[in-house]
Amino acid sequence: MVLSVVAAVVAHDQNQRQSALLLRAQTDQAAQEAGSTFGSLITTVTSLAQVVQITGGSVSVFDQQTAGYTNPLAVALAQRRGDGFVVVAGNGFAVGSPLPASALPVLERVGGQVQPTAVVRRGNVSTVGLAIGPPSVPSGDVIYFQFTVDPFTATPATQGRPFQLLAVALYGTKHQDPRSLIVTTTRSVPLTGQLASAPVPVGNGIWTLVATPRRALTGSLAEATPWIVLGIGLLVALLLGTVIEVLVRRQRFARALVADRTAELVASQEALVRSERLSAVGEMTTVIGHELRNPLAAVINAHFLVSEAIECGELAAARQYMGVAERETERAATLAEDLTAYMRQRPPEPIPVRVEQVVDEVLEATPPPQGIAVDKDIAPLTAQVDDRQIHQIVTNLMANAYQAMPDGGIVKLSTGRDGDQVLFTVQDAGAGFPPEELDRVFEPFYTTKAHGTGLGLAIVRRLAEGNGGSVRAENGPEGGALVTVRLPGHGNGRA
Amino acid sequence: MTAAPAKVDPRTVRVLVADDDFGVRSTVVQILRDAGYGVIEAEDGEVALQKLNQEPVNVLVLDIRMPKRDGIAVLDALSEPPVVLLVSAFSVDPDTRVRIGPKVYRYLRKPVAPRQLLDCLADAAASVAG
Repeated sequence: MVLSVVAAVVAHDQNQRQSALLLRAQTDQAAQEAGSTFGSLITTVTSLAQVVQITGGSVSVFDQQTAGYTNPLAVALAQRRGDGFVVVAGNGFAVGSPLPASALPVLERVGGQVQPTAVVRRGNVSTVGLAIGPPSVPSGDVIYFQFTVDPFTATPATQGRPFQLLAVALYGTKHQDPRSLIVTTTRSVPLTGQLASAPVPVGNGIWTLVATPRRALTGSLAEATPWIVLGIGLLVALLLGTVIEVLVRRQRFARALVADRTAELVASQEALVRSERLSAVGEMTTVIGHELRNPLAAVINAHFLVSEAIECGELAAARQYMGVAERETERAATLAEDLTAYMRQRPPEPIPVRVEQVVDEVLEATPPPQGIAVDKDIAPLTAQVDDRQIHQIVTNLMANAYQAMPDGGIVKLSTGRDGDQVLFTVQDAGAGFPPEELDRVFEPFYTTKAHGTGLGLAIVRRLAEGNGGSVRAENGPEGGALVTVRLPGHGNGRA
Repeated sequence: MTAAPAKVDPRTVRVLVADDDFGVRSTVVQILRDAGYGVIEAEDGEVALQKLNQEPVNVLVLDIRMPKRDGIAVLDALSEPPVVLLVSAFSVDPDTRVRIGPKVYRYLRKPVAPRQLLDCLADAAASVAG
């Protein structure tokens, strides 16, 4: 697209260049022809000027000298009279008559100095009035040199050409000094633009004949300039547009790329999260499946053993296996409960909760098993937590401790405060956590026990964090597991 | 017990039950003992390997998911395993299945019905005798 425009502009430019060259040649030729036309005129003028110079403006001499110049030239000598000019001598003009009015505006236009010339038109015939004024004419005297040039019939070579295509001016100096303008065919003096000039020797001086095309270099570079400007402008605009377009596209591309990458990242992130979630779900499902199938398998086996025992009439054995079935069913139920507690995350509704009351209620609802004693050290504190969730936390901590102590012992349960925060500390007398796995003990389904669901501490952590608290696991100085839960307090700092 | 159509006298067959779940292990052991098999037990993979090294075992009832060493690791560690009944809650991935396939007599899905377990065991015992 851009390239073709460039080619078009170049072609256009070449055409313009050719026509410009052609016109320049025409101009030069016309100037020469005008020069030759003027040549004869100038010969006359020169001689007249010499006459005037010699005679000091003698009318008789003028008449004598110009007697032969009747055709095609009309020659007049005019003199300033007041505001106007009066023909004092010459051919084609009545002596004593004012210079034709059509010539006056031109004369006046140049400031009343009777040195330039006017073009006087009569019908189709152009009459060039030539005034030769100062510096070669004494002040007050004007040679009004009138001659008739018919541009359409002047000469075959110049027919229809010189004064149609050209504007011509004759200066009384070597330079185009407006003040020395002698004769011109145009009102727009001085001539400018595409000029052809030729020196004309007059007396001791050099006059200058200047010609320029009337139509301002039609088809020339000058005329093509707007096109070139337009073309270049267009080209520049196109280039600029292209550059901008390229930049915009590049930016768009970059944006799209960024968007794509972002989308990819988001997608891969989502995929990762999804896969992690899926793998977490898969892991969980696997564990759940396994954890649930074990009690189920045990219950099925127990039933089989019960029916066998009944067949054999061994009622004591049957009762024993019924106990196994019951125990395993409870296990499955506990697992289901823990799972529900873990999976169903109810947003906490924190209220001020008295810590001693929580501990008492938990111990009452889930008393320590046979062989286990609870050593309480409870400070009168208030926690700002969800009431049911703090019960669940303490219940799980205690259950965890009980399960870790199959051989019995003492569980130490104490509360304290750190600033306004409430600390629950539960230490059991079990085997403790494997030191290398301390950071895993809050993972769901992590368990060191034969019968745990692996969800108790995971639930504790979720609930503690959900209530704006935290949880920490370590091994106590005496070897058992030590779990500390930190919960937001309510007005404990003032106490 | 006449439940299993055993071609082999169960009393000549020693079975190792390896399962970390006490409820499952104890009931399975009881069922197999009631059927007449000589049964020993292991609560994890390492104990299972120890007992396999210590005593002659004809059939291994092996749970896959166990602490310390899982059932697959136990199989990988055995160059000449006994007849293996592999028990799992879930299917074994294809690669693992290809690897351990030659060492497994039969795959059983948890929970295993006691009758099915006894039938499989009878077949396994027969394959040992054969």
